[in-house]
Amino acid sequence: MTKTKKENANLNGKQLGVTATQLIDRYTDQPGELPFALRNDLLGRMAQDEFIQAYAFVDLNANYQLGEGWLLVTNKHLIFAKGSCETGSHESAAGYRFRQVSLKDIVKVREIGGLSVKKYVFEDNEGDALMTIKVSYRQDRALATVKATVEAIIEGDEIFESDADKIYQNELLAGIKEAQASVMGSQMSVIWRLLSYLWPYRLQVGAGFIAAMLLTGVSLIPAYLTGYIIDSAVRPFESGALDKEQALNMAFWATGGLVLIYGLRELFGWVRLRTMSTMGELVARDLRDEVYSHLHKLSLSFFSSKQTGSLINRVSADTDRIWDFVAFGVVEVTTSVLMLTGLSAVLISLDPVLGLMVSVPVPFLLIAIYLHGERMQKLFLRAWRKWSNLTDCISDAIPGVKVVKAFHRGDEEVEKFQVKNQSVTGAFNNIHEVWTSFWPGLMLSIHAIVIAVWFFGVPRVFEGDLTAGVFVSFVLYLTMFTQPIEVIGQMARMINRATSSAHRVFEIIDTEPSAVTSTIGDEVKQLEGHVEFKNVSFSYDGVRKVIKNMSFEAKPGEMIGLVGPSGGGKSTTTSLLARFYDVNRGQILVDGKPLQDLDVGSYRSKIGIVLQDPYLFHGTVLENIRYARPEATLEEVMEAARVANAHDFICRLPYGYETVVGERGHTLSGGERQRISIARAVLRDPQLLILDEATSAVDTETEKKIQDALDRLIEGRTVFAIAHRLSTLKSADRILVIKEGEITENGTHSELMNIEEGIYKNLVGLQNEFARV
Amino acid sequence: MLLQIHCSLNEDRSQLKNRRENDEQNKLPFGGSGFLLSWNEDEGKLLFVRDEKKITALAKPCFPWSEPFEKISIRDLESNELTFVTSVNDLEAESKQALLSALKEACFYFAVVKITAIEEDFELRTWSVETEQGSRRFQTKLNAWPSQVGENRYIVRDVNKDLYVIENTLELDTKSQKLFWPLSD
Ligand SMILES: Nc1ncnc2c1ncn2[C@@H]1O[C@H](COP(=O)(O)OP(=O)(O)OP(=O)(O)O)[C@@H](O)[C@H]1O
Ligand SMILES: [Mg+2]
Repeated sequence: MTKTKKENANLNGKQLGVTATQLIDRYTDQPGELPFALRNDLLGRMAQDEFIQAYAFVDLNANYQLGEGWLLVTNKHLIFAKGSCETGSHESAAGYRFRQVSLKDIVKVREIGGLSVKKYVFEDNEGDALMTIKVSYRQDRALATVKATVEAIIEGDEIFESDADKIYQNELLAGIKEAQASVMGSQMSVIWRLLSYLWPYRLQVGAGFIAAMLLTGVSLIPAYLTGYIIDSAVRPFESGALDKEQALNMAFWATGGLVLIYGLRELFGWVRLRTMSTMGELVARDLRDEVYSHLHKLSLSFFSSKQTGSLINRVSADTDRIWDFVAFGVVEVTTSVLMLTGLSAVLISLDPVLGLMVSVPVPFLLIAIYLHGERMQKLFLRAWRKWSNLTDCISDAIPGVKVVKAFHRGDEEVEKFQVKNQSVTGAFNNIHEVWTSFWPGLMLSIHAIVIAVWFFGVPRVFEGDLTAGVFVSFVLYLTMFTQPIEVIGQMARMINRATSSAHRVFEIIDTEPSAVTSTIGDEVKQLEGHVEFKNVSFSYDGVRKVIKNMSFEAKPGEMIGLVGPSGGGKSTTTSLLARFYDVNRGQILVDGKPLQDLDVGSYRSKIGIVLQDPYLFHGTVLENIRYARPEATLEEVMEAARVANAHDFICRLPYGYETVVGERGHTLSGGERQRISIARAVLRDPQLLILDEATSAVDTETEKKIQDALDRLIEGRTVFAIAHRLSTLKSADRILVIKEGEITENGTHSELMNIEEGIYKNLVGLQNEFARV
Repeated sequence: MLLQIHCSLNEDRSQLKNRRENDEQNKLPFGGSGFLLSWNEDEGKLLFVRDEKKITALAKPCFPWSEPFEKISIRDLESNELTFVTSVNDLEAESKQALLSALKEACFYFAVVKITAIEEDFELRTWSVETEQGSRRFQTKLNAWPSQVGENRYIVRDVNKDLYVIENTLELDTKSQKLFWPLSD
């Protein structure tokens, strides 16, 4: 391992805010990379031209106890280093014991999975184990890479020097990153980042803040004024020091001042609310725009790893919560802090003793509110758990209501629900018990402070130590204490909620668009339809290979049929061709050019796809067909529908082509949906057509109709058609049988029929037999 | 569609027949047309021996939580059923020992004896636990709740699909119980 590479790995980690090693340290209890001492030992053992290709941590020993071990694969050897305190013959200076196997001796790598353990057995040509390794699933991804590397080397594939540290770190963190795609250093960094969205609106924010501060300042005046009137007008008048005229005059001015103050107060209030809430809306809009447009740049794998509901929430509910925080939270917290300090300062300056008596308990009240929040969080967590039990119960039974009825289990379902409902109620009542007793208790302590002010203050008024006016101001100020205390006490929770929302939103924004959606590449103007797969391998999750070393060629205008057992990889093959995913190894050439070098957008606009599970958007039939080419004329749409044999049934719909279909609209049958999606593909007039079981959901007669449509359609185009019903493929030029990710048979119908014991022949036989029944 | 059902019906029927045959074989005394299981400690390999033929096999308990030592399907590496063992106790000593060793591996999970902390982070909940195998820190998603299997018995599955089992929550110390309480069913 050279140093520059390590620095690279760290740099890459840093883009996420934290390095990969720091993350591993934060989330696991294993080293973030190969220990330095071990690396040194290895350097002593390895030959000059030997380098480490990949390594993995081995966390279980032979007795299933957690321990330290490392499995490394170099370009020559498989090395197991066991960290141990025991002494062994091959012990190194750093206390590692080594076992080493030459890669030449390894013939096969077997993996066996248990509940929470994965065993890798490296076998020689006699099937004897050369090395056996046990790990928990946490290490499995890294070990799969070691295994793949071993296999690649023994198969004689070309290998390149790789950054083993980075591979190890990425594989180890993959599970965590699936749950938490972007990892930010701390809550503070999330808040700063959120606040950075305010920058474009800094004028409004400034105005809002100034208004809020003035509001706070002005709010402090009326109580003071009341005390002032008492001391300078009411009491002097009563004692005769002031005549009625003068007293009235003073009162008049004071009232005028009050009018002005209240007027200003509400003016500032209006400015603050207005600017901040509209500005919050703008920030939320910016976020929503950014998130949604970013979503469309992300790869399909991102979508399959997240639930649709959660993505929808991020765009809607989470940005709404952020609006709440930006518009009110930020200002409210700052003004509350200002208010509390202002109040304390005024009180202490009015009367130091009473002032301190009031101010000193405030921090304790804040702590009490904070602790209460922590306790509530536990209770809320429990309630949330119970609540999700309940909603799971509903969301399970409602879509399955047909099954419930078929097995007559309605009563049991209701009973199950009632039990869960009861336990939710219990959890929530627990919460209510706690908060309902906390807040009156807190208010009681605040009242106690008021009582104390009265208790110590009133005698001092009589002693003449304290004027009546100051005392009244004091009491009035006290009533202003409660609200800011409450706000600050709940600040922690509010910030928590806002930052986790912000985090979810930033997570999407930070997910890098896959190469698949980038638009660098040659624009595709014309497609001939020549397709070649060259040793293509692909895996969805990086562990299980779904396509293995697949090679075939399709000439322009050829129709290729894909058949084979379910789960064999037919749909995956076509997904790769449509470049929904990028291949892991090998190459796909279209018209002789690697698929990666083509501009995705223009490439996809030249191909037509009918997916296995056609999806219609909420909208009219017309809109759905036109989705392929929005500028198509009504005649063209109808023509396409005719080709797809959809025109007839569309005419039978209540509003013809303008009938609303899709999720909430008119429900179409599977075959009807399929024909609309065929029309959609036809409208595009693609040179390369992919049909994934376009005729699976229809009866024989409709199938014949679609068949006729397809026969017309496939002329002069390169077509890939997947079918379970082999009759669909009668016009195919060539048929590929795909089983377990490999092409097991490839040839024309008659060629394949000549393979004794062949899968295709067997399938044809079965279907004919079935047809006779 | 129909064709698939048709095929799988046949398959099921033949499997049923097999199973009945296997059951009968199970009852046969050791030897004869029965089978033997043996465990190779060095390689951690279960061998299935019948009619002098040795096949590397895997033991798959059908109900790993409820009855880990009963109703075990013995399968070859391609996952075809070789035989079905209703209970390990039906086997003679050597085979029983071999099967138990194999099951120890197949049913391995982390047995939690103490929870030292449960902390929430963005989207993740981090658990620090002591297990019979040593101490360990792992993560679950925030909405991935422990699942209850049996009274007071819980399984926690982390983001990497590793399993952590609390055999009896009541036997944990008070602090662990307190930490676990909000997440229990
Ligand atoms: N999005 C995905 N993520 C992870 N694994 C997937 C995904 N899609 C398919 N797979 C897996 O890849 C394998 C091949 O699936 P594929 O859909 O290509 O099969 P198929 O030959 O089209 O089957 P069928 O005839 O049932 O449509 C299957 O084992 C499947 O479980
Ligand atoms: Mg498919």
